[in-house]
Amino acid sequence: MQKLIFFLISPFLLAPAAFSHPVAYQGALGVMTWNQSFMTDDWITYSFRPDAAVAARHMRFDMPEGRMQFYAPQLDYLVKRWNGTYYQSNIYVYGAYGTATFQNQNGGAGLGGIEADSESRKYFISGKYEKMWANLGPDFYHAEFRLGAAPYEAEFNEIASWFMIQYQYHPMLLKKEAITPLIRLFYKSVLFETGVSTDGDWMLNFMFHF
Amino acid sequence: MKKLTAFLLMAFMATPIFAKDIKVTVKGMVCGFCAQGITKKFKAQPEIESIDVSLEKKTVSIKTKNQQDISDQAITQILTESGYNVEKIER
Repeated sequence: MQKLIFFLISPFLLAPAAFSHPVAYQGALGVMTWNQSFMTDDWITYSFRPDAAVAARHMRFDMPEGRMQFYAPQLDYLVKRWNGTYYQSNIYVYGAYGTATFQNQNGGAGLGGIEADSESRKYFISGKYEKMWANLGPDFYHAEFRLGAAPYEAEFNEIASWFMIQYQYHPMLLKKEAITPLIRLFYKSVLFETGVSTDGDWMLNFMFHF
Repeated sequence: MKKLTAFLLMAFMATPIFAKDIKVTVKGMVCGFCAQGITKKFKAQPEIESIDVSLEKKTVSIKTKNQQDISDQAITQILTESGYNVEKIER
């Protein structure tokens, strides 16, 4: 019972997950792209240890004042992992420092984030909070929260399906918040997600592990 | 009697080590996408013939090549680097 309670509450202990784990198995090279009308988030990640990865990251945010683009190297760290018989829970942090472009100007920008997730073969819950400090333009933060359920418990070599609901809060963007029901499919090393928000915005995400 | 014992011992020692079937019970293995690293890492080992992961049974079944073996320590290291905990190794 304690494990069940922990599984349910662990992501709430932090902030509002994540599309994918920022750190995968040692030696994994991952490519991820997240696409919505108001933001893009692209990662190339190499896990050089079981608990750490380096990444190259690009983000696009559409704000009322204009479009901001962020390019940076990033360090991801797995703070804590709980491996249970029927679940896995994780807490990650990461930081990046790079360049932002906004209103035809370039400047330094830093980003910090924290993510937590917990999943069984049937249920998924995750949360993420990120903040970016830019020398030009407004500071940016956003939070994401996800709940998911699998219609069936996929075996290792089967196509896995998940139905999820995602809530995003980012008051600096053109869309201050978004609620998006989505479907996640994955098979072996390929993961694909798509959904449409309650405002009609499409979301298309893709991830591949080499 | 000594000769017989020595003969039996030598015969036993001379017996070829055939392929081994090893079953490992793993904790935290709930997602097929995340667990792909397990097969990639084991398949990269020269002594491994085949690998079978079962999320249902929480097991990784390893078959080694003829006359080859893989130590418990190596198995544990691979699974730890893949992000999981070993609960039990059965040979």
